[in-house]
Amino acid sequence: MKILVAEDDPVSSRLLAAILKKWGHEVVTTNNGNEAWSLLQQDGAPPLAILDWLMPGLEGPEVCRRVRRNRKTSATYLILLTSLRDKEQMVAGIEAGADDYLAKPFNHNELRVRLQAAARIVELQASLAQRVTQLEAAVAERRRAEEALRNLSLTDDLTGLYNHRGFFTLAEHCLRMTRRSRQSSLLIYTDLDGLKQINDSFGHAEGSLALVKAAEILRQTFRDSDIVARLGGDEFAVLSLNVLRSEQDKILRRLDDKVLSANETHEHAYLLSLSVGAVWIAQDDIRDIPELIEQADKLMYLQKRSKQLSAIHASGPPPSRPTLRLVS
Amino acid sequence: MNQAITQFAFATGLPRVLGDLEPAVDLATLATLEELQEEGEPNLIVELIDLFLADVPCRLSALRASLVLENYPALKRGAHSLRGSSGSLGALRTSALCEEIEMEPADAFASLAALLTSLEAELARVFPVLQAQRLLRL
Repeated sequence: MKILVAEDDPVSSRLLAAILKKWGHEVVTTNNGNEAWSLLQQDGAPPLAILDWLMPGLEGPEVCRRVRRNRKTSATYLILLTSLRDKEQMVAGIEAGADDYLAKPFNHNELRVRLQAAARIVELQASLAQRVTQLEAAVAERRRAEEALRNLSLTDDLTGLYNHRGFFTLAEHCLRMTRRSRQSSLLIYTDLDGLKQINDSFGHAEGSLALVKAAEILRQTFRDSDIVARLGGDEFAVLSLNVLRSEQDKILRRLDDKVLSANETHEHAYLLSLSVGAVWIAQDDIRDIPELIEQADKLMYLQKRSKQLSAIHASGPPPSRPTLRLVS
Repeated sequence: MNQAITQFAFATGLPRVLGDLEPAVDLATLATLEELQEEGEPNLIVELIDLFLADVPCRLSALRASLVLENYPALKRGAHSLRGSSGSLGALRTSALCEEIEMEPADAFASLAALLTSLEAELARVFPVLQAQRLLRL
């Protein structure tokens, strides 16, 4: 073990070093407290230090206090050399942060057994530190793996619907397949009205619940084979496959009904409302998903504007609830 | 007659007086240090004695100066240090005197002065013994 001996008397210092070397330890000596403190802060510092009480510069107990306060050095095992008759000194030494004390003049055997105890603790601390490092590395590795997994994920954590990546990956693929089988499809782009107001008035937990509810409504409206997604924020998209033109209105009405029923059966302080833009895709339509989304978005925006204008024209006091459901 | 008396006095008086005093250096203590000798290394006891002999004179001056300046903390620190080294080399009475200086109340100038004088006298006895021990081991 590498041991620091801080003792200002040259005879005692040399003697202690000789004893420790005899027992197979590597010894570093200093004759003042400042240098002792400095040496203990360096990389590769001795894990154990034997400090005299009275020294030039920092006294032994002060070195102990500093060692304990500093995160880098705090595990150092400290033995203070104290005067034989002063019990108060011994207590003060331990309170200053020493692990053990040795009365001067010390008995060689006593020193040896105390060093054995110290060595065991130093060994323990070293293996503990190593274990902590290993665990930290394992945790970091795990986080990286989770991050990577999240990046590959196709689903939205909150609602369980497909996420943005999921939608765009699958929708394009499905669209191509339906075209090949000469089928038409319906693209819906919808957002939850007034999410910001819900968050502001009732908190984000309530806002999240509203999103989950909207997702549920969409799931119930469409088939399992359709691609229903939350694109992000308050935006949703659905690619409903194999839909005839004549079926478009029926589907949109079904969506409306489900929103209505959700509002009737649930005690919300606000009303759920979706603005919808729908684009029917003929079997020979060559537009890709992004283009179709863009088109649907425009239509949705028109619906939103018309709702807002209707709200302005409606008579009566401003609604106490953040969103009004109006005729779509 | 005078010669006989002197011889008698010498034979019984002085040795008895001298015998009452502790030896300046306990040789048994010094001997235990031999266990620490590493093979092939220079003699440890010689090295320790050299360090002691070199260090003591200025320690003593420092103690004197501290006393004169009434710097009691410095006096105690110096005595504490000297106590350790003298004890390690077997100068047990020296060590005891240092301890007394350490334990003495701070402003007891007169007793401290007396103790310091005794310490100086004791070290004067210790030096030749250590020097002899050193020579034995060279």
